[in-house]
Amino acid sequence: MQRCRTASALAGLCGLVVLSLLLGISVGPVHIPLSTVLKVLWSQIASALTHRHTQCVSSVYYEIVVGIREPRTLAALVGGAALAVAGLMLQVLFRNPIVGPYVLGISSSAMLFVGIAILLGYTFGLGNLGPYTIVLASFIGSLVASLLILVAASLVPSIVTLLVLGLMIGYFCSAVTNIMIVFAQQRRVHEFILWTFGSFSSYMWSQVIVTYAACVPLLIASFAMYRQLNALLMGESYARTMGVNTRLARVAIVGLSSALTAVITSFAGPVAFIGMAVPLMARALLKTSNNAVLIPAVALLGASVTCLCDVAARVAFMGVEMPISTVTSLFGAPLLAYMLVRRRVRL
Amino acid sequence: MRILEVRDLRAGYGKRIVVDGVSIEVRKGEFLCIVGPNGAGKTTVLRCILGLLKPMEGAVLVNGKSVYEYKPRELAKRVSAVLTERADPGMLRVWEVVALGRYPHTGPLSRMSERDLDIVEECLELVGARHLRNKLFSELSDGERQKVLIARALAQEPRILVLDEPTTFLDLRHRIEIARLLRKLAREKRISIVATMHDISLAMRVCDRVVLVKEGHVVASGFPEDVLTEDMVSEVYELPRGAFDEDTGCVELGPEKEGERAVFVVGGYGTAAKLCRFLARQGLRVSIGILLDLDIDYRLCMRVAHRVLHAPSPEAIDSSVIEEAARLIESSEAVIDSGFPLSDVYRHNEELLRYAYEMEIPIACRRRSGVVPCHPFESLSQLASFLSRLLL
Repeated sequence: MQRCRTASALAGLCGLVVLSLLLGISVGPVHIPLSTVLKVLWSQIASALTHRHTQCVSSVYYEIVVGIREPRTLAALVGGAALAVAGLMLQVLFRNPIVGPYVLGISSSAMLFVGIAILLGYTFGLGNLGPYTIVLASFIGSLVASLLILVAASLVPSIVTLLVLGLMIGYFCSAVTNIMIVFAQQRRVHEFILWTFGSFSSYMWSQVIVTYAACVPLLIASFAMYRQLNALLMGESYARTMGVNTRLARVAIVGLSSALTAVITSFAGPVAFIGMAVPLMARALLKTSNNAVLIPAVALLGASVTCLCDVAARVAFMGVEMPISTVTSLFGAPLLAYMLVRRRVRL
Repeated sequence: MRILEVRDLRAGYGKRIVVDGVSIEVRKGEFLCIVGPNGAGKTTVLRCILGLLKPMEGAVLVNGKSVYEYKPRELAKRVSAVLTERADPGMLRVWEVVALGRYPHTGPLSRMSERDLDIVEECLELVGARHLRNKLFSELSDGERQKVLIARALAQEPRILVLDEPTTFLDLRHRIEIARLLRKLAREKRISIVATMHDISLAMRVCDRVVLVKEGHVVASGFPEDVLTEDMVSEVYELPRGAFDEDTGCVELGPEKEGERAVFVVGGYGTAAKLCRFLARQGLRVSIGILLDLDIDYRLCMRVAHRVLHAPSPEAIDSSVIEEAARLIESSEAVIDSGFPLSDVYRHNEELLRYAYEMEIPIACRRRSGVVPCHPFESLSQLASFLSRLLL
């Protein structure tokens, strides 16, 4: 019965991902009929297979689909999957169901370095302040926090110490960022604040390719950790007595989740709630904590939820594009509150 | 053959030394209990055996090899554990929890084989938890959880099973079931068992050998019958004298602070033991007499009553004992006849009752027609109301 439920849930989630992909390409300020979307996708697949370029839809639609919607939707899909899996792994490691991928200070550190770029106008060696500078700054920020926390993970004896250390990195970075905000020009502050809410709108094809090239192997490696993660559900001491090299597992989990988070944060900025809420939703849906099932489920659910939130961000506010975090928080916070009250929040 | 050896262990946390100079040996199929007061270092010793805590000095050897020279997986194939930390694996089913124990036996990417799944079922069967296999672990009672955790430990196919207080928090039935299960594992599966225990009376029944520790040192070790004596237990746990009975393993609270109002119980043949405990709990100063040494009442009342008058045989009752009994009766506010069978052996106790009647001491008796006129009672509540009217 359990196995049947699991299989049907995973199949359903796959369907949901496909649906999200189609909606993500079709819905927006310019509505593109689903049939056209399918035609474009088909022609792309056909040309990829036959190496012959055939264009059967109007070039405006084609440009929107291929140039704007596809990279954005694909980015939202992998971004959601990456953040949700990162959140899941950290929830298991810290044995705390309300932990997300940003507890270890990655977003705050990225914000600090992006703040240095936008608010202070420092370009990190690039000629002028453009989108690449922000990506670079965000990447450096995520990397610094990840490396710090990785070193800490291999040194500190207790897992709680690690969590507190991550929180402290977050507070420290926020404090420095706030100092910069106080002294910065108003226009720049506005730009900076908008960045901190995250967005998948600026993805270009090259960035999508880089993101997939990084995230797919990381997600596979994360799945390969499911046995260690399951053992860690019993607590670190039990995991040790079962033969898990807990120090190594800890470093691997922190490393993988940091890398996944860093890649997404570099391009899209911080995306709230996905990493914390999706694992909880998946557990409530599948009624299991077995990570062999949960990791694929969380990846699929994270992908489609993020993609659908991105669609809502485009159209829900009468043509004004909203940052992704506003939508995820708007839906995520009440959902999480409901689940907490109904005691559905479990590890 | 020694399968586990702890040699001159010194261990602790930070600079604080919790355990010093502890040596333990365990043979194949032997059940060893570590017994001692809270904070004596029992759990610290277990953590060292499991390789969770690195000793400052000394060694822990499994099959003659230090636990720190084993790879984690290799150690897990030999030693497994049931710990006190509350395991909350979220929404795992019982069989999934037991299957976690197969971790050291399965490769990094391989799935569970048929054999692995068979072992999981076997272990569930062994602990009598097969009917729970599809339940959520979090929905189980404490007793069921403990069985499942033991099954999980067994799924590692260990030679040594280490348990930290396996029976604490369990009800009577589960305590006995777990104890019998552990004995069976030691006897039939030849698994060596090392367990810490707070329940001394259970420890002296279940384990082959016992190690008594206090303040990080081994005080005594050997057969429980030799180690868990009244003197030794009283000393280690700092109990008042006479509280612990080494033959039964029972603990009595002993007389509370000297009661002001005194009663005298006349008993014998085991009729007075519960009565004495009841009266002592009412805050009365209980004396009892005159009991023969081979009477169970004597053994049991000794730890409860303020004064127990006794003699080795009816013939050995001399005038000094009778005089003391008379004095105690005179100073009592009531005399209680426990309803002991009337026979030649306790003829002298009938005399005591007659003496109390002559002295006009109120008498309560647990029999239809008393030796002397008295207030009959059948239940303890009738006795209680008699006493409260009297002592008001």
